[in-house]
Amino acid sequence: MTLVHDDTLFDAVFRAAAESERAPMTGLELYERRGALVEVTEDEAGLATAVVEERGFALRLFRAGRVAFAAAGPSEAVHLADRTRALLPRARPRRGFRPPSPQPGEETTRTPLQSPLPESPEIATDVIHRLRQILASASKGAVSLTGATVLSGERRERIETTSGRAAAWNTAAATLTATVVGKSGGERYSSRILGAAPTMAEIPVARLAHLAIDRVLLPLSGKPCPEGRYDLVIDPLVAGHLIGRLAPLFFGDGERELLRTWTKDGKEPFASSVISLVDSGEAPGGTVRVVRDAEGTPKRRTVVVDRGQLVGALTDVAAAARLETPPTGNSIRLTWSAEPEIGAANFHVDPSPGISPIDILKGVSRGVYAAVLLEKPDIDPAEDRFRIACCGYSIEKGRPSGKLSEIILAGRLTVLLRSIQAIGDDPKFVSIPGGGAGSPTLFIPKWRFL
Amino acid sequence: MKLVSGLFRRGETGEAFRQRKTRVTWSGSEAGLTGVARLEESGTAIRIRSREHSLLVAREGITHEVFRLAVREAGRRNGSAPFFKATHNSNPPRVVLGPGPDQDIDDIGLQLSGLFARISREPRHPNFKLSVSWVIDRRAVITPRRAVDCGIPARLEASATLRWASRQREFSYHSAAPLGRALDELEESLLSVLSEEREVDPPEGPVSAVLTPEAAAVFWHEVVGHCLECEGREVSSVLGRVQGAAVAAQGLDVIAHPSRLDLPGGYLFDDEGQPAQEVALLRDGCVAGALSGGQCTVRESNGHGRTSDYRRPPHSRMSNLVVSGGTASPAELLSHLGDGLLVSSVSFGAADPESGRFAMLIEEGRLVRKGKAGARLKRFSLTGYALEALHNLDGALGNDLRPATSLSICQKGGDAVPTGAASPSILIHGLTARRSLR
Repeated sequence: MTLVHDDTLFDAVFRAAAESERAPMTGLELYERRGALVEVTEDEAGLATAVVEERGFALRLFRAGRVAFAAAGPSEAVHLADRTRALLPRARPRRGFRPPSPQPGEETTRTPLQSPLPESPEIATDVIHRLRQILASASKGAVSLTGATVLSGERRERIETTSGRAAAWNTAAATLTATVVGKSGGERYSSRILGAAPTMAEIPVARLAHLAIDRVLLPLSGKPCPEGRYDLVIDPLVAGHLIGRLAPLFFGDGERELLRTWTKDGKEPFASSVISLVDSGEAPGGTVRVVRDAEGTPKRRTVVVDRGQLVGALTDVAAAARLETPPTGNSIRLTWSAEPEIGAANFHVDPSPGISPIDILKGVSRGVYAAVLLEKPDIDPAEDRFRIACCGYSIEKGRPSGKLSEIILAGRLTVLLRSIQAIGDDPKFVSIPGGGAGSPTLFIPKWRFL
Repeated sequence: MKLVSGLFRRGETGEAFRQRKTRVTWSGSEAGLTGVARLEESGTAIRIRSREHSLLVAREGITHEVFRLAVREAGRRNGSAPFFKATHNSNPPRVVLGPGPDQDIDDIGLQLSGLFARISREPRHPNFKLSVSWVIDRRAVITPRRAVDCGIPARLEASATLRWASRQREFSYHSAAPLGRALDELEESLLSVLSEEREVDPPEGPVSAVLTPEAAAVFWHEVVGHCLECEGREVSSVLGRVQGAAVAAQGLDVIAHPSRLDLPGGYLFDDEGQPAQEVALLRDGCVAGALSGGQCTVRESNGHGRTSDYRRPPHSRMSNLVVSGGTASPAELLSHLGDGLLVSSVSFGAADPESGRFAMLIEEGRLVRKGKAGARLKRFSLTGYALEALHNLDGALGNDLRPATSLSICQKGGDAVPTGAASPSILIHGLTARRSLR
């Protein structure tokens, strides 16, 4: 193939691949991504700025259920069709795999992508300065920032399939990662915090600063949580990580058997009646904002648990075909060069039946507030067990009465989910691979602490 | 080189970096090989550093045109040197990214089909998800003085989740050995994981443990390696703060050895163009050095500036750690242990260099009673503090020094780089064991 003009490379690769795939039971999907990101890091070495522009193509070839995938940059894109075809004989047929087709009423767009321009690094520097200021004033110098990175990117994506889908869309994302060190009584403790939002302006800097202070100072200054039964209030950012770990249970049809076992074939609820689990591309406060998924399927709000009862799954095109439902738009690509897989956008507990977290706290006469995670939640869905190590505060008559350096929440996951008696109206989101997970404040009465 | 050197103003340094990566991944399950994916990626980065700031401009591709555009963009953003012009006449240096090892991709696929079939036919009928990648990562650096090819590290990476008889086990394998040998080792390691032995709960609380070379590799990586990576103006860690102090038994050497190309973290030049150098981290039990790259402002680079890919700035990172061997046989170490644990496989490790706290998730271990390895243990975690653990390390080191294959990609600050280690078995007292859910 001769070198083609930049803007027409997508069409040339698609035509070349499609022409050789005219046999029955065949199809293909070509994906292009153009991205620009700016990354600003401020640490002891000074200020580092990275400006990255990227462009990549990914081709999936489908033949009678077999799938082969290849990805390459523009200089190698012309070889994609040959490379994918060479891989295909080694693949086994998989049920449901086919090129994505347009949904009823879906528009087709065949415009070439323009490369986005990287944002100004000055905005990122401002975010870091704000974080540093809040940390210094709120911790009275006990917590210092050793390094912070702000990353902001925009990507423009395009997809075309031989089944008639042609779509283009834009997405943006920004993250703030910071390493903080707390000093108290001659001891030091460091921690890393991460916040994500669709744009740099939406990163919740103040909230992250207070989270960072709690995360490094509570383990140094509090007492371990005493044994006994107390009311438990879980902070949205702790609950968000737990909810994020539940998301894969709803990915396609892979864990249907396990969910049936959990709910004894639908005879028991998945969670208490105040819990509805939803995935949405545009949840307020969500870490991402997406209009289409990685296969170009329009993203829609999907309820997987409605008032405690299992009602659905998050699907891509293949899983939807196996479940005989329309796809929910839950395919993600972690990078342009990664094969699409099922993932969540903003997977969260629907806060609509929630009440103010202040009202939740007011009702606690003796309890524990789990404020900050100390390590990743340990969850075993197959054994229905969980263990979360966090720190927080003891609560007496609705007010914090002391610091707790270690709170271990452990037990049966189904018991925890079914014991939630109230939820707040304050959803907050944390990052999970490919998206975010969120929850409001959760209230569980008389939880047993070991 | 003129194009690169012309970019820098007084007090500035930097380099151009080119990368070409090929990754072919085969994935499958007990149903056989189900998917194949191939990635070809290349990119160019221009990096400029001064004492106070650094700039990286990265673009996809390694053509001359991409190089010129990246240089021009870097010059624009940095405020170019007065006489600098990235014109068509200033040709980029001709660094040819060396060809990858000549492997027939289809041939590897065939061999893997056989591997998948043999695991499926195992009498224990495991359910598994296995992904195997053949990675060829070619890198070149152009500095104002020279243009170097960093080496041709090719490696085999594998990760799997295996379920059988109500057990689940995470598995990883990583090797820079020649492909045929690596595939044989991978199969052997995978099959050895499947066991029908009954598993018992580990004891909780303070324990002593013998770590086999596989497990000890993770220990050294977390406890010594991460604690001696130079960040900016200081090595801000429990070991960095006590340079020169005796922290472990005499006779113990821990050496960073990037030029060991038989280990997965090997290279000839680092990602900033510095020759790979041996660095003693612990010499005779004393803290003797630290790993530094170009962004470290208090030490000269010792060839440990590494990056996960061209889009990311390099940082001081570990390559391969090689630990001095001893004379004790594994049986002697167990006998010396008396009662405790034998740890042979670790699936995850983490460390906080500031406090020195570290944790390892143990996939495979056994209870040891009166110096004899007994019942197999359920998954558990071992935690401790770096200085205490090194202090409590028994002076007797194993005579079974060998490369680890389960130590693979090290993630730090979002950057993943391949690392390796070779260690003998070791005996440590005073670790804390805790049961894990899976």
